[in-house]
Amino acid sequence: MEGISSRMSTTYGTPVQDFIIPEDYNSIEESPSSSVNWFQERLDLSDEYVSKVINVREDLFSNWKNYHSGLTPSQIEKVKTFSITLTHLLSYLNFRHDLMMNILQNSSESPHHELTPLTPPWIGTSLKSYIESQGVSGLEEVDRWVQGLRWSDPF
Amino acid sequence: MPPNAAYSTTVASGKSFYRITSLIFSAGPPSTYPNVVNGKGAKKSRFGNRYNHPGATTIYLTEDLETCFAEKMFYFQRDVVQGIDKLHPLSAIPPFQQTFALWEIELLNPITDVADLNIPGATAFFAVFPSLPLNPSRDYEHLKDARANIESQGHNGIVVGSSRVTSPGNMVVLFDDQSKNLASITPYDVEFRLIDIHGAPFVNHVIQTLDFTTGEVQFAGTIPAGGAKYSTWQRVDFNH
Repeated sequence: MEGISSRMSTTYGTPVQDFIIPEDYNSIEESPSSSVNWFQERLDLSDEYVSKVINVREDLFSNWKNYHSGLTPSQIEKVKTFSITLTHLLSYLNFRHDLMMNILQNSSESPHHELTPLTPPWIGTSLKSYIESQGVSGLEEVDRWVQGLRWSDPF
Repeated sequence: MPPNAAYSTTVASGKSFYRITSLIFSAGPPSTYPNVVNGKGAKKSRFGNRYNHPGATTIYLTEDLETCFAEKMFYFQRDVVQGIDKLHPLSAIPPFQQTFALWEIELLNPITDVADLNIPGATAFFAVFPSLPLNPSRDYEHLKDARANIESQGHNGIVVGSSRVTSPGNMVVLFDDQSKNLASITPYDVEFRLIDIHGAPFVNHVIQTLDFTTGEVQFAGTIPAGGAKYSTWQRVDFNH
């Protein structure tokens, strides 16, 4: 698939882990359909799931991916938000596929204490379920969390 | 207000500068490499960075490899420790050994009127509290404000000592997109790993104690000029 790179960890001397690296950060802007498709394939996210997250009909979303028409500019921006957020999470995990799948699928414990700005917003559920239920606002919360974790000064 | 020549320097063309990014920037074709110095990452950041508020185009370079490694080691270790702290809700910790793209960058044209905070009297002139650029542990709103003030005076960047490198080393902070001002830009895969207090690779957060002031670095493939010592794992000390 164009615009895609996938490396095996043998390059880096660590055992049998897949690295999944989107090729070219700018492709999210320049080719949002191929970018979101890449994430869907690598992370096992269906058209039904993504269309629910961005709040468009599944047939419109699928048609847009195939024929590059059918979504409004604001809906395409939501698709970009989806890809950007997952890119930032992948970067945090050094593009390790197994770790990304863990975060997406595993349910986290319910909080036993006051939440802080560094508490993952999907606490008490899985990231995948959280994004599905919260939509684009959930994506933005996740992106705010990961950027805050890495670049803000929480101390 | 014109830039003050007494506290300014020129960032030279034809000289190597360095930057480290995630592998996403080197995974594409070479035609995409100039994006590494377009400054959009800083511009789009939600919280800004050490010398920029969100929305301000900024490119962070270093003048030498050691400074680049020390700066990155600080953030790499912080990412991992944050992951350990959040292990239970996250179900994943960033790997204790990671690979990044080190970029060797040569500018096509020199950049003039760059404020040099190393020149005696410069911090006073630019109203920068001299303690804050030196603190490695966190960034300050004051430094972001200072950058905005310096830029408003017509300067094109800042040269300032790195707070993370243990020996003297400079960061070069540029205020404009440099993607069209490149003589060359070359990526190298570089591996970082954490070590424990006994100097062994840090591989088990349950039983090992992390060394908070040192990590190790080596090049995974080709090596830039001046980087031969990093053909095998080398200690990189940094301020924490």
